[in-house]
Amino acid sequence: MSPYLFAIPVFFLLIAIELWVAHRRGVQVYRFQDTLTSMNIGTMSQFVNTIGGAISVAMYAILVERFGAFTWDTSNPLTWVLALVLYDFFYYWVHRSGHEINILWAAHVVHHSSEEFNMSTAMRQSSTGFYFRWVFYTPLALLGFPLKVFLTVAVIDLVYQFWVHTRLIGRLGFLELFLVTPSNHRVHHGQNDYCIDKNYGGIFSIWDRMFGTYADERADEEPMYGVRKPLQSWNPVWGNVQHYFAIVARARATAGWRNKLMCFFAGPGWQPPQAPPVSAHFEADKFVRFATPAPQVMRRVALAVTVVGSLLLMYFLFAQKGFTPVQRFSFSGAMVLVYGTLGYAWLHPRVQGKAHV
Amino acid sequence: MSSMAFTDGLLALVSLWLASRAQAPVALRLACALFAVAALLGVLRFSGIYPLPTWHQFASMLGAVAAFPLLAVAIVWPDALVTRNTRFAWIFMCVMTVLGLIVVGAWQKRALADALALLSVLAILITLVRQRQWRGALASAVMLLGLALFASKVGAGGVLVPGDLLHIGMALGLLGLGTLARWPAHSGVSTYDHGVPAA
Repeated sequence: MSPYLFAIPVFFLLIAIELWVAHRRGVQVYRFQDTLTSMNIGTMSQFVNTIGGAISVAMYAILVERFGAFTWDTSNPLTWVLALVLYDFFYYWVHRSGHEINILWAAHVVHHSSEEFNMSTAMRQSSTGFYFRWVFYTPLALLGFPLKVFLTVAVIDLVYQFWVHTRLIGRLGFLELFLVTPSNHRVHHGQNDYCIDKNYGGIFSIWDRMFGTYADERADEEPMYGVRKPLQSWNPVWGNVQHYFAIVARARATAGWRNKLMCFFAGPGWQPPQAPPVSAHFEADKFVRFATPAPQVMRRVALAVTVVGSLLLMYFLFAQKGFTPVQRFSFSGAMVLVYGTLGYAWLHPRVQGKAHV
Repeated sequence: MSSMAFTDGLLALVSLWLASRAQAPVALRLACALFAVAALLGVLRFSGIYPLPTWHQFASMLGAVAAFPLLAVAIVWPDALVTRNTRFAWIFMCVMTVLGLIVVGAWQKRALADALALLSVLAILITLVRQRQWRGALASAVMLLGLALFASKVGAGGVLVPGDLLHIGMALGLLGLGTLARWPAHSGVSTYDHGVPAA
């Protein structure tokens, strides 16, 4: 049974607690459309990853069987600790590559597309990242860590990262020295100059300190969340694919095969030589968060879709073993269609028109 | 201890020497580093010091699917991004590794990996013949012969097994290619500018 079946209610509970604490402190950390979009992106990624994730799991199982060198005693806690530390080390490189190679950034950008920073942001997980992530964990398979150890530490690493997506927890003293905390993860989600390409760690921040990518949160400059090429949509499907389209469009418009290649494999900020120069400086005072009118009827529909979608996901995770691959694919495809339609509806002129009535 | 420990040792020495040559293109150095890792694991395996046969198989697979094509790119396209730029050489290696893991690891078509290695060396040979670099052409011919003998499982009169011939052919081939001394001088300026990254 999928561990996410148990994690999802906990995630929702934590979001409720964060909402309550924010309400008591009189601060607003959630916006309705942003939150629902985050939740729907997360739910959709779980549907899609039951297929995509299966490919990663199958590859790991094959690799560990064919090339695994050592046998590990799974009754020894040290095995699990070592696996977790190594997993987190490779996660650092997965994450860093996801930021510094454009085609991989296309998969990860959806996680950063929220201009808020709260626990629902943690749910904005990619639906397309499965195609490359498994490769980075090949060394764990070569070391022979069994599949169940790999999957367990992967879940621990991911679940740990949930609670660090909050603005309500300040700095945590000496823990900041070696752990990923809400403070140093806020820097990671910021688009201010000092936040760019910083703090890639999953559980441990020591990797960032080792490889020169660590930055502390600044008291004089609060991070502004989001990305410099904003999504400007509430559509979970578009959020997952828009950067792929942007890369292809840019490659088509760029002259020379070398530059076309750069569009895919250089950093996300790379500009073709003929393109007009773009300022590298982030101007916080000019930043405007994406916001659109939200008519009451649309809010109710969106909330219903989100709640029903989450319940369907829990049913899906509970019953998926009994499904054939075609049924899984159809179920997931139908949910992608629902979320895509909802996202489209948010910005439809008739919906926007109703908001002004 | 089998003869393969010695021939792998020879290959490791030549590969390490080439990998450490600062003036060589980064793709060539990376390819040689991969060959060196595979050869060192071969030494550990065939000498019985610390046999890790699965790692040796894995590194050899990487050699076939990633290092040989890298070597070919370095020689056929000396000014390519992959040849000159560390980042792109690594990305090329990773992409080829993924293909290798899928083709050899999951699909179990080892012959395709061998074919890729053979094609890569053939491309090197043709390029060097066309450029009339006879010493390099001879070196790549020796390497091609070693690969062909290994693929067809031909030994040398009971003294040397096919694996030995592969190692010797590769070591001599790399030695010849490494002493080409015709690498265009690297300006030291990267052709890749990281530019303005997004968050």
